[in-house]
Amino acid sequence: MNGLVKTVVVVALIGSSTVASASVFDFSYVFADGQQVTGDFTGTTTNGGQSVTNIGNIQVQLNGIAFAPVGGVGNPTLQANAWVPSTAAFSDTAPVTIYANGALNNFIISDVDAATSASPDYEFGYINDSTNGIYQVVAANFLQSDSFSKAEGNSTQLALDSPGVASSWTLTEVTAVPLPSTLALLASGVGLFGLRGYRRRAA
Amino acid sequence: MNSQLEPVRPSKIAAAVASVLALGSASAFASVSIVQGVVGGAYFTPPVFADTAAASSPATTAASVYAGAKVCFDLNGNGACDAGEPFTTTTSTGSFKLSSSTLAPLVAEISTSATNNGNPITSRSVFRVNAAQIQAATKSPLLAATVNITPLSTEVALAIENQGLTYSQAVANLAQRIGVSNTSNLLLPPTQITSPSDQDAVIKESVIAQGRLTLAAKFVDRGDTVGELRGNLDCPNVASFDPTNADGCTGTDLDTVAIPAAQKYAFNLEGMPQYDYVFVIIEENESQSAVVGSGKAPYINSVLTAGGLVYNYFSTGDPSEPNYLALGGADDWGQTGDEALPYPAVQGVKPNLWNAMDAVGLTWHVYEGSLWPTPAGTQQNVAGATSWNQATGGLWFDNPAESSIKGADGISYGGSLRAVKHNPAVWYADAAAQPNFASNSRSVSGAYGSTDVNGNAIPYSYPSNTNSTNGDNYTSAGNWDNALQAYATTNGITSWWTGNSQPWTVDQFKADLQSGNVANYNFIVPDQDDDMHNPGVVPRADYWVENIVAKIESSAIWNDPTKRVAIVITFDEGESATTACCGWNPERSGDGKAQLVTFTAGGAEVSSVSALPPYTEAYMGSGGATPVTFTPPPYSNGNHGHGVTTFGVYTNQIALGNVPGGNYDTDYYSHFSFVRTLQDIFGLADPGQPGTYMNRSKYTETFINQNATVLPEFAGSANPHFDAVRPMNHVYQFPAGVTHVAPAGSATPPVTVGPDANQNNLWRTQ
Repeated sequence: MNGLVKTVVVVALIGSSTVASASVFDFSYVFADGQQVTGDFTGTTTNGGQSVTNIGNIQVQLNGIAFAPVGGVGNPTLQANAWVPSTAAFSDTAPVTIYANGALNNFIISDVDAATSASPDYEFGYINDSTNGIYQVVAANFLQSDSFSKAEGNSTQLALDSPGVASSWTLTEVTAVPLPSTLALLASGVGLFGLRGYRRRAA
Repeated sequence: MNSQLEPVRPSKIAAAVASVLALGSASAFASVSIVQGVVGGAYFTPPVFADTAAASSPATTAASVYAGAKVCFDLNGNGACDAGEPFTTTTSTGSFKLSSSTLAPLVAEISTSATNNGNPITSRSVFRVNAAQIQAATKSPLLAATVNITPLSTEVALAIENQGLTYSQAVANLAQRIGVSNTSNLLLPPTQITSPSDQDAVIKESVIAQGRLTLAAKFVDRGDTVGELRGNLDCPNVASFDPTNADGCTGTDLDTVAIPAAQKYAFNLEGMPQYDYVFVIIEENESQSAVVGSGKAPYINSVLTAGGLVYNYFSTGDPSEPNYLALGGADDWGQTGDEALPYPAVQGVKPNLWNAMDAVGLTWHVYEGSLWPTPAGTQQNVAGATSWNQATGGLWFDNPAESSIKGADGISYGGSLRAVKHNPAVWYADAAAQPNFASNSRSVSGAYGSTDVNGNAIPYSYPSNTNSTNGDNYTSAGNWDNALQAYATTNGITSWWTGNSQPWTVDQFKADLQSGNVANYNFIVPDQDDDMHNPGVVPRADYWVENIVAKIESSAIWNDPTKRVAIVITFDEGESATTACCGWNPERSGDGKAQLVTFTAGGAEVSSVSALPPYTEAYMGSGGATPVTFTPPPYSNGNHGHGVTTFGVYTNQIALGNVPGGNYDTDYYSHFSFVRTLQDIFGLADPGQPGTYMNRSKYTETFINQNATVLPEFAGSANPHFDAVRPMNHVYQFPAGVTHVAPAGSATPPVTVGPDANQNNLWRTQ
């Protein structure tokens, strides 16, 4: 038992040393027609701070309406999938990278695994695929769109651009936070010290 | 950044969507859909018709977008934007963006609140997109697909729904049919097509389709029934409908239709399929019995056998001229003889086929044999002729040089060789005044030794063709085509119609077939030695017809399975009984009797009713419900038909094996029926509005029933079925127990009793 704990601590320390930083990021995209997507997620900066990986804890709002069930009941878990130009499909294994330079983005955020499901309730996609000629930023709240459509059409719940230069895209690091692995390391360290103190007392 | 990509694997989403799409196009699918595109088409400015060229103007077309159109995902597949279906409205540029939690067909409702290139819309229409088109444009359901909603996308949807084609097949067929070289242009809004030729083709087809789609919306809005739309004219749900008629409504005939079915019927008006090209070869003055089964006309008989024959086709006048007027506009306008007419005879903007074709963006040509070569800058063959000889009968254009033209046999070109009266367009003032009239009047040759459009000799097998002393020999009269060509060459005549730089040719018909520049409607007129008019030349005319048909058969359009091409061989009149039928009731010439064919319940003809004075009738006008005053032309001399003559239809759909040949139809038809049929084939009228059919062609049983109190000419008819105009669709079924026999002058048809279930619509394409 004692040997296993030591091993865990060593691995955690190595992992911590390879991560540049973990932060909360805010993002926004203003469409040509004035509609706006905003949100945040956690991730890890890479590429000299120009991109983010390890995306998690995603929150998205389209025109201020959260990607959440109608009536606000429940909290959907949003996930990001990468768009892979060589297969012209979303992937559930390729790593997702979100860039500060929007012209490099190829991702989608939705409440489903976009690689296997064609029926999300919400989505925010940002595609720059020169291989297949797909350049679009799309945000849709399908639940809201159907209800809105009864009265006024769904244009307020569908935003769609074919951007050339993504000048309206912003990605901002808000604050650095401990990554889960870091928290685990910290907890492990605290526990280790506690264990050693306990052993001393026991001895 | 991680540059390692996952291994390639099939898209699970694409497979799932494909599987649900295979279920059909009208249902919603388990996939979201995001689309963007443009609602586009064409803006068509109809011609201005007038009796003078100065007051006339041609049609114009332009690529267009529809602003203010309502676009929706049609979740229930009814072709309408219903409550609860995701919708949006097109912008000023015609663009739209729309999403749905379920993939479904798209509908664009173009109401009168929308605009077409900024112009008001007077009658609504609906454009559609089949779900298969969305799927084909979709890279991923979660990404927006570019899908334009146009008249042509609607035609593709109809082909998928009604012809069982896949999306790619439907696109390829339509592109080939209308001549779009790059299929990726087919479903673009015309404003985005950069290829001029493809853009022209798409715009022209858009104009044609938009007219039909507008008609379809009317069908739905009026609550038209299946029976009405399939051409059962006894079926309309009106108070005057007589339920005792044996040909009453059956099955779903009284059901109303939604947009998808209405659009299907709009391209198949009264059971008449849309044809791209119709060629009418008109011969002269022979009863059906003199042609059908005659050894002197082996080729014509072979065509009738391969295609289909109408056994009871009536001319509407005697002599020729009233019949040609009728063939041009379903009325003879009071003309009862071949006497001199003022030129042009029919003035006052009277409805006619030529203007009607122009009015919907379709084209027409009249090809005439032995047409005199015309020096550039003159129009002596056509409108504005200076050598029009009214004093000698007013039938021909005289030319001082014509006696110098001699055929190989030494016979001079006769001054009466080319009968202008046989041109059914030249008499309508507002047709002749149109800017395109001169270029629509063209030449045709059926000369011996002709070759088809591919340069292959046209064989002729009539056994007496080597007997130069036989009056039935095709060489027994002059052959002037080559001499006319030589005359043109000698005199430096290189353009035979005004304003056209095309070199003069003695056979422009052949040249047009080679180039694909024939019109949608082509009326082909032989000279009087090739049309059976002159005695003893039936074999010569048979040979001439063979030459014409062979040229059509060798053309690319005939052999293209995506194009619908029909050849009609008919005559201006018969030569036997002075009988007529089908909505025609001027009095008999000199006998003081109205020429109304009236039958007993057993089918026997009974005596005619008394002659009628000119009168004003109130008929159900273009609105279909409001009586409108209509004054038929007076008949000072009376008139009558000239019995049954030959009418055959041969289509490339038969030749290509899509439908069987060897058909016959014993229903009663006339020139008026044929004109009505052409209006259906080309989408020129609205079956639900009788007044939209021109002149006497509106005299259907429905029309007669609706207007019986103001149509005294039908008051004495024992059975109005026999007296009504019907489209040539063979929907009419004779009552049970009625023996259906041919009238005098016809060949021996099958005698049928009651409904003739073994007969067919000769024009059918499926």
